Amino acid sequence: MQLLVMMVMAGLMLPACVTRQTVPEEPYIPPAPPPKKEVSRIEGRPATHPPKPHKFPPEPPLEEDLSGFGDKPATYPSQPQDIPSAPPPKKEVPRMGAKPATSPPHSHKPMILARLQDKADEQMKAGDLERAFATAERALRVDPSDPHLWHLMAQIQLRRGNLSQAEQLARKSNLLAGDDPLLQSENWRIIAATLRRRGVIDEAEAAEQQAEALNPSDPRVLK
Amino acid sequence: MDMKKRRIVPIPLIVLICGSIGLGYASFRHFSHFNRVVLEKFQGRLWELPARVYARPLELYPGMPLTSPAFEEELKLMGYLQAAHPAGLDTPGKFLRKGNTFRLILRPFRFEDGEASSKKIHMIIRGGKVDFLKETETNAFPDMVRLDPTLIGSFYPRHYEDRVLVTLKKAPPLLLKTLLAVEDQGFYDHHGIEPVAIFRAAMANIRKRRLVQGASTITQQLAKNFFLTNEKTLTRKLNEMFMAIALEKNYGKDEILEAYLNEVYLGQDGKRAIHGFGLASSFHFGKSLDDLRAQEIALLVGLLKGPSYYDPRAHPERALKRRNTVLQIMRDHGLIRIDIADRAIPSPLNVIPDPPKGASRFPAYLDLVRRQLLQEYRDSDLRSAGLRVFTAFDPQVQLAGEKAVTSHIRRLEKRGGVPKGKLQASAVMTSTAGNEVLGMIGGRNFSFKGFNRALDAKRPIGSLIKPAVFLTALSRPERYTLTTSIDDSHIQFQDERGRVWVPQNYDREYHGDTPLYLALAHSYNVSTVRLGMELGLPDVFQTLGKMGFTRDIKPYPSALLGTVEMSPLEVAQIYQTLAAGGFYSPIRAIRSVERPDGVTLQRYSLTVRQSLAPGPVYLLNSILQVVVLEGTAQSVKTFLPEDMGAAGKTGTTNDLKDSWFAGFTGNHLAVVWVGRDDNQSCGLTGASGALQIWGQLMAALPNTPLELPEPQGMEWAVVDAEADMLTDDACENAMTVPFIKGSAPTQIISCPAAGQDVRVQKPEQDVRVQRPEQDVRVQRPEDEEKDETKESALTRWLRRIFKKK
Repeated sequence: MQLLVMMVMAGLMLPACVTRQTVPEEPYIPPAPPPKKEVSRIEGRPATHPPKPHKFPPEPPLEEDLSGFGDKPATYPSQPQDIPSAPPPKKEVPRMGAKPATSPPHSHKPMILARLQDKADEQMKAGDLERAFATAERALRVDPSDPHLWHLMAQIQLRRGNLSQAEQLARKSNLLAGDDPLLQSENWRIIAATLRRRGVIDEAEAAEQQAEALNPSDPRVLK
Repeated sequence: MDMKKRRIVPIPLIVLICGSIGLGYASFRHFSHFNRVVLEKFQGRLWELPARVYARPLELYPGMPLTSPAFEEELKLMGYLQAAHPAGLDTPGKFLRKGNTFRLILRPFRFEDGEASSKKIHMIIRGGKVDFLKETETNAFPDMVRLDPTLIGSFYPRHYEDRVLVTLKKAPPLLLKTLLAVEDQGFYDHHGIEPVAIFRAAMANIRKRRLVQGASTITQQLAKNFFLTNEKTLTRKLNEMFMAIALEKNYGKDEILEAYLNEVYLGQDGKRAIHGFGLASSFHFGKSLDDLRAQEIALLVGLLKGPSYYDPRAHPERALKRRNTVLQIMRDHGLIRIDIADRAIPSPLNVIPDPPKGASRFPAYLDLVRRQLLQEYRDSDLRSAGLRVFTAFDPQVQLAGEKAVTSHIRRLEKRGGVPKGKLQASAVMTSTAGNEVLGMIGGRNFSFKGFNRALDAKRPIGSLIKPAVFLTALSRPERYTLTTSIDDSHIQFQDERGRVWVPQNYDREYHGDTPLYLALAHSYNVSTVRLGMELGLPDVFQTLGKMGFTRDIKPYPSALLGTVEMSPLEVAQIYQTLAAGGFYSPIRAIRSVERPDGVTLQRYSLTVRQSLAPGPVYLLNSILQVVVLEGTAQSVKTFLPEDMGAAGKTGTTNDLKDSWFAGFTGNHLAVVWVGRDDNQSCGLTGASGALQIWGQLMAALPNTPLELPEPQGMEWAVVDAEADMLTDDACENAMTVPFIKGSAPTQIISCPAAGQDVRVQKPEQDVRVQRPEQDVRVQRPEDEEKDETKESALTRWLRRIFKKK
C-alpha cells in the first residue's frame, strides 16, 4: 500500500509526458511536394553562372538614370561577370515595372538587427545551435531581405549537419546578395561544403571555383 | 442463575463482535474503494490543463513601425488595463497613454529563452515609428523590449474546466491564511473530518429541520469538488467523509491545500468552468495572484461559499457584503492591519467588467493551429497536457483584416446585388520571408466557430492560375521573354465532354498579337490558353506543383483558366513561393510547442527550398508589379503608394461566382476570396471585390516596399515591347526590360526621334544592352555630358529639317 502511494506520488511529481504520434527529423513537414533537389541544384548549379566572357562589349555611358525594370537599390558595384556598363539615357526611358522606392531601402536598419545577429552568432559559436537559429529567425522578422542573416542561418544549419538546408539557405542568401561578391563567395563555400560532404565532388569543385572567382583575394584561394 | 447469566451474555457479545467485524469489514471495503478512487483520480486529474495558444510576442525596438492606436488596441487585446492617471499605474498589466506617449508595467512571462521579469516601460511613438524606449526603473535604453504574448485561445479538456496552476510556494501567504481562517481553522490538526463540528452542524440542521449549516473541512470540500456531484444527501456526505479520510491518509496537508487552491470551483464563463484561484484572479481582476490586494483576496475567498450566488458581476451587492464579512474576519484574526481593513471595506469591488473570455476571438486561426498540432499530437494531449503553443499570429494584422472585411462586405454586397448577409469573405495573411501565417479570416462572422472558408472552401481560382502558365513560358528563355509576341485571337477546343469550347476574354474581344507581359497584366484568357497549350498542360501543372500545390489536377484545357479549385490557404502557399523569389517554404502557424515545465517539445523552424529558377520568377514578379501599375489591379493604387511596388493578381470565375485577389509587398502577402456559400454569382470581379478588401488590409499594415532581388544571369535591354525589338532610348516606345542573359531580342527597330526612319536593322556587333541600375553618370564629368546632349540634339534637329525639305 505504502509502496503504491509512493509510486503514485512519484508519478505525480514527474513532468507530464506528452505522447507524440510522430517525431519527424526535420521540424514540421506539412503537406508539401516532395523535394525536387535535382531541380534546385540544376538551377543554382555553378555551371549555369560561370563568369562568362562579355557577350556585349562595354560601351561608354551616354545617358543618365536609366531606371531598371523592377526594383533595385540604386548602387550596384560592378562585378567581374557583370554585363558591362549601360548607356544612361538623356531622357528617362519608361519602365514596365514598379519604380524603386524613393528612400534608399537599407538606410536605417534598426539597432536591434545587429544585436540579434550578434546574439545568434554567439549562440552558434557556443554550440547552442537550436537557439541560435531561433534568434536568427527573430532577426529575419525584422528584416527579411538581409543576405547576411540568411548566410548566418546557412552557417548554423551547416554546423547542425543539416546539409540540404545549409545549401538552400546559402542559395537564398545569394539571391539577395546581388551587390556583395564577398558574401556570395562565402555562400558558394557553404554550398561547396555541403556538396562535398554529400559526395557530389564535381559540383563541389565548381562551387569552389565560383567562390574563388568572386573573391580572388581570399587566402583560401592561394593554397 | 450464574449459569444462565453466563449463557446469556456471550450471545449479544458474539453478535456484537460479529456485527462490528462485519461493519468494520464493510467500511473497510467501502474505504478501500474510495482509497482507490482517490489515488486514481488525484493522479489523473492534477494534470488536466488546457493547452494555451499564444500570439507572437510583440517586440518593441527603436525604429519599429508602429502606430499609437494599433499599439493601444494590441495592449487591450493582451488584457492590459488602461489607467486613467499616473497613480493608477500600480500593478503589472496596466498602461497609461497620453497621445503618442505610453507608460506601461509589463507582466512577467517565462519565454523559452528565459524569464522576462516585470518592467516599467516608457515609450514614445513618432512618425509611425517607435522613437523612444526606456526602462524607467533602471534608466536603461534597451535595444528591444519583448512584451508577454497575447493568449489567443485554449484547447480545453472535454468537460471545459479551465485553470491556471498555482503552487503553494508561490501563492500569497495572505490568501492561504484568509482561506484557513474563513473555511477551516483546524485544517492542520484534523484528519480530514471534524466530528465535533459535524455534530454541531447536525444539531443545527435538526433544529431548523433543513440543511442550513455545513461543516466541511477543506479536505472534504476538495473531495466534493474533486469527485462528487453537487447533490445534498446523507450518502453523499458519508462518501465525502470517506474520501476526505482517504485523502488525508495518502497525502500531506500541503499537497491537499495546493490541490484545493487549484481545484475549487469559483465561477462560470459560458461553457467554461473557472477552477482554482490562479484563473479566478485573472478572470475577476485581470491580474495574477501575486498582485492581489487584501480586498481582492477577500472577494475570492468569499466566493467559495457560493460562486454563483456571490458572483460579483451578476450580484455586486451580495458580493460586496460577503467580501466585507471576510475582510472583518481577516482583521479580527490579525491578518491585516486595522487601518488597511478600514480603508478596504468601503472600496469598490474593482472587478474588471470584461473578463478574458475562454472562447477564442480568433477561432479560424485557432482551427489552423489545432489542425497542424493534430498531425503530431493526440487530441487528449492537446486538451489536458497543459502545452504552451507559440504561434506567429499577429494581432495587428488580424485586426486590420477584420476591419477591412467589416467595412467592405456590406458595400460589396450592394454592389454585387447579393441578398443581405449572403456574401462571404475569407482571407489568409502571411509573412513573405518565413511564410508564417499572421492572420486568418474564415468568414464574415469572425467569432463564428464553424465553417472555416480559409481552409475548407475550395473554389475555382480563375485567373490566379495564370502566373503558373506564364512562369512555365518564361522558364524557356530561348522561346519566351517578357516581350515575346503571343497570339490573342480566336481559338477553340474540345472540352472534357467533347463539346466545342471557345475561350473568351473578359471584354469579349480579341487583342491579336500581344507582348507576353501585357497578356498577363490584362489577364487575357485567349492568349493564356493558347500559350498553355503550346507549353503543354503537364508542364504547366508541374510548375504549379513546384509553386507548392500538390493535389492532382484534371488535365483539361479549361484548367488553364482556373477551373482548378483551391482554398485561400493553398493559394497563399503558391504565391508565397513567388514572393520568396522561387524559394518554397511550407506555410507555418506554429513556432514552437512547450511542456508546462518550460521544456521545448518541438520547434518548427524555417526551411527553404529553391524549387523554381530565380530568373523566370524575377521576370514573372515584374509582370505582377505591372498588373498593379497598369493592369487589372490598378485600383490597388488607391490604397498603396506606387513606390510600394506591390505585386498581385486578380481572379474572377465564370458568372462572377468567385472574386479573388492574391498579392504581396516586401514583407506581407495576403490572399482574399469573396463569394457565396451557395455558389451563386456574387456579381463581383477580382478587382471590384476581393481587391478592395486586400487594399484596405494592406494599407493598414507596416509594409516595406517590394524590391525584387535581381538574380544572377540577367541582362537589361532597351526595347520596343510591341515590336519585340531593341530600340533607341529616344524612341517613344522605348522601355528598359530585363531578360535572362542571352534572351534579349537582337533585331533593332528605330524611329524618327532617334534620327532615323522606322526601320529594322540586323543586329550589329555592339548591340546596346544596358544595366539600368548601374548609375554611371556620377563617374562622368558633367560638361562632357552636356556637350554630348547638345550635339546629339543639334544633329537630330538638323536631320529632321533636312528630311522635311
